[in-house]
Amino acid sequence: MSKKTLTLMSKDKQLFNIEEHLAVQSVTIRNMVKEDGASSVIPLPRVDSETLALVIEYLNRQQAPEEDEDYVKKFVDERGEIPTLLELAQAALDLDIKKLMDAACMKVADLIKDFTLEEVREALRIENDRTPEEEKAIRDEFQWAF
Amino acid sequence: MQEQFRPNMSRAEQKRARMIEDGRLDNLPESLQLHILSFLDKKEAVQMSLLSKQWFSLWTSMPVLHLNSFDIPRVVDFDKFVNRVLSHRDQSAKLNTLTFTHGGSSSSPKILKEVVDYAFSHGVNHLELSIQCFDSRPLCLHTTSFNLLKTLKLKSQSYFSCTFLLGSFKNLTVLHLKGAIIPNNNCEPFLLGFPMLEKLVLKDCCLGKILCVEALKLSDLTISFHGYFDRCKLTTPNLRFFKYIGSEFPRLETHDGLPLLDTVVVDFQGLCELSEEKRMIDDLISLFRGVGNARSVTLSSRIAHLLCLFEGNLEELDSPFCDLKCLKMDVRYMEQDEKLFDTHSGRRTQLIEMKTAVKAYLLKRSPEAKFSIIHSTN
Repeated sequence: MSKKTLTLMSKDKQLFNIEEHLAVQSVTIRNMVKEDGASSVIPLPRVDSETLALVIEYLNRQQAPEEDEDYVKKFVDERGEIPTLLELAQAALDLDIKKLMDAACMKVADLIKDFTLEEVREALRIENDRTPEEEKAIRDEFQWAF
Repeated sequence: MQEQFRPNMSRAEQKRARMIEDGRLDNLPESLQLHILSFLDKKEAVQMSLLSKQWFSLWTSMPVLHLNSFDIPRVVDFDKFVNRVLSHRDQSAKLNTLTFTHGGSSSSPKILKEVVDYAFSHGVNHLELSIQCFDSRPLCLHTTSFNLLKTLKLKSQSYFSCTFLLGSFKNLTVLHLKGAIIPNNNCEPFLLGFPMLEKLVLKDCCLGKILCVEALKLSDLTISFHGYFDRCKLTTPNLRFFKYIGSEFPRLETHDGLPLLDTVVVDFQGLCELSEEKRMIDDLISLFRGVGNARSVTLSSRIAHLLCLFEGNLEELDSPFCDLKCLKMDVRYMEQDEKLFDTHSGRRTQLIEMKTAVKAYLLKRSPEAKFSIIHSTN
């Protein structure tokens, strides 16, 4: 009997095939399969094809359960760029793949530790919504934390 | 895209608007921001709270709090820091996870009490306290909240009393104790109030002569112990993983032979006197018999070394393991020694001898089993 294959479609309309028993590590996909048998293509409108390729690479891993922790760490380590990690974390959040999301977020946290505030804002795409006066006031208040 | 002049917008707003137009700004979902924050130490997290108003409000209501003294060596400063963090928090926010690590030799009992009180009054589920010298009195004030806990980790460099473990921990799944004096009333099992316990780690605890563990859901047990204890009685029908590190090997008494046991890891950390060799090896073999139906066994090179001290022919003994699927020998310590003391060639021959003897003995009844050596990664 051949293994059942699912087709996932990225935001930019690229198609990816993956065996169903591997794909259902994603809770989101598992629920979709349960609901309607997911016979046709599963669209993932928020995940671009580059990120989806990474996610599929992760889902396709052949690892014994006890080596899994090390594997996922190494997997995100090798993709140590913050933008990639954020995309990956976001995709893992959408697809509900907890281990991958944890590892990606942990890596981001690790990378931004030594950044200046301005660098963190840039890396995490955060706008400073305080006026310079507000900024100074809060800095003074939190002087103890530096 | 054509630049437009927007007189009513601040510079930041203009920049943001431009980024949206360019499709460059996908705001991170709040749950991701929170998740990233939760991996930071409290001190770093405080700094991140200055990023923007939104991050500030995230920070004050985070369900995860890591208080760690590593960057703040002075006790007074750390106490002040903890006080400020707690007072800045949104008081209505629930606290799910709290870790408190105090590296200093004398942490003030007052701050520990404050932290523990705060944690329990905000519904903490996962609590981890690592302190040089632990005083369990603050915990004892919250016995009624113990049923909320799912994880409890208490680590201390010196022994501490923990009679509170006789209380009721209805939802606790993970218990990790370092330096605890395990209550031992006439060999009564000490985990009676822990019906959900799945993982137990006892590190350098004071175990008494006999350790009784009765936990029906327990699947993962690690004991690391330096000193003498005589017997370990396990009523743990769901045990799958057992790790023992010690300078002596206790006799293992199991209620029903641990039917689900999968993985066993054994290491020896001690010195073996010549006059004690025979007894030690007998004890070790008897421990092996206690876990004889394991599928996978990992032994350190020190265990292999000890086995090789056996007088007579090890290979003639019957193997304690009835059906191993894999046997691993961990030589990482040995390799570290090699680096430190430059004893390369002698060790190599020793390793080959050990490998042959241990394999022949332990795999006698499992000829199909895979054998492998765990090397240090670099």
